[in-house]
Amino acid sequence: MQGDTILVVVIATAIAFDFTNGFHDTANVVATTISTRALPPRLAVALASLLNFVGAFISLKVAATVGKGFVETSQVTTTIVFAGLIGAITWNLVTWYFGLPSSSSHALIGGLVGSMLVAHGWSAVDGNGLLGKLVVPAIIAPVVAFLAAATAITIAYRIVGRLRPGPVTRSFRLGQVVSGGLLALSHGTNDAQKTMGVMTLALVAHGDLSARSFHVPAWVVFSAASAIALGTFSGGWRIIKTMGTRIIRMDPAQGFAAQGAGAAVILAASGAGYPLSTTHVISGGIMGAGAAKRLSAVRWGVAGNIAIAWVLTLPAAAGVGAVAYLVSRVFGNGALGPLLISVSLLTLLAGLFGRRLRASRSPAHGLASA
Amino acid sequence: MAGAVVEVGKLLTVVLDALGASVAVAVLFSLAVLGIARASDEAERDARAVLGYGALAAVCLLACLAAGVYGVVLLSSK
Repeated sequence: MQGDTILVVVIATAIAFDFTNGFHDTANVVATTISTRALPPRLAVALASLLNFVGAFISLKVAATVGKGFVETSQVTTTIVFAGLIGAITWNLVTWYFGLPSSSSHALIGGLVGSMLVAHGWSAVDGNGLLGKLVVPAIIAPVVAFLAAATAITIAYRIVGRLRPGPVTRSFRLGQVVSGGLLALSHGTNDAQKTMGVMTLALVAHGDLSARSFHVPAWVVFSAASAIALGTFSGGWRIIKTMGTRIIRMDPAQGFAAQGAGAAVILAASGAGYPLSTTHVISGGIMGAGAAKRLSAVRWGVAGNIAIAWVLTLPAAAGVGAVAYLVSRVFGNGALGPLLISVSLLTLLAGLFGRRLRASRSPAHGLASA
Repeated sequence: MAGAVVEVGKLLTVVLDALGASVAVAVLFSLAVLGIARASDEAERDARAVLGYGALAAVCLLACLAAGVYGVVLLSSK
């Protein structure tokens, strides 16, 4: 019974993580489409949400990598998975609060590795898997997206540069509907699978599934797909309100190149089973499309923040995951520890939202923003 | 050492696939845009040119769509 309760808490936490992942990443997926006016904001968000859902059903290779590639599956317990998720969610909230462009994927794997380390030591963590399947692809992918977008837009400008701008702009806007759709599909494919991997890992730890075959049940795929789609849909309304100067200004051809490059990198990596940071890949594509026109168009400060987030995310989420595991263990092996931590996190989250809401409604804030 | 940990061949395939696909689709779509723009410019002057540019645009657009569908189908069959 205790084991069942903790499994329910872990699955609920994983779904909550997936929701925050979609919520967090809406801006990356739809910003380019909206800023070039390829689609109206509401339609762009709704379409991205739908394609996030569909994308989650395309492949399961990333889920298998997350479940088997970094930790010794046979030594995982539900408490370890729970603590890893808490590490990821907490780091996501901290970076969201301070406005750092962090990767939910790296946070998730960092949290899991951290809790595994304090539970079983280094022998239970696959260092080679971490380096070969996470760290190296994480460094290479945004660079590839940058180069792909820069090359694509340079060639595109060569071909259409001397044409009348009217038909060119209209055509690339239409093209962006497709490239943006492909980007949303690829986002759903890569990101939803990470949660599927963790949920399956919890089911293996609970004894419901075999560690050998690592089969992802259909209901896990469906719940992860629904959670990320709902997160994207919910996150979108906030983005619509805060749109404007925060979104990079680019023409539809640049938007097409950036989205196409991002989608190509994420889809190719998903096929190979690499869990990428979609945030970093899409940022790489946008910067590449901007840099090809003029170097000063790139927000190098954002690039610097991404680099800082790269370095910090894995160890920070691992640290929080480790602490969450140790705190959980203080209350024994049962569900009490995870339940108390979940309640504390929800209280903290409500407090943060309340503070943000009060700040945005206060007259002083209104004056400051005016 | 790093070569043994990192699956270089697999990673290289991902890099080349991604670079090749994004550049190829951008070239094809740009050619389609060129066809559309030139066809609209020639609409009242040269019917044969309109036909030629229209065909270029149609073929390139179809190739773009086919590339996208092929990518997704390939991914889902892996």
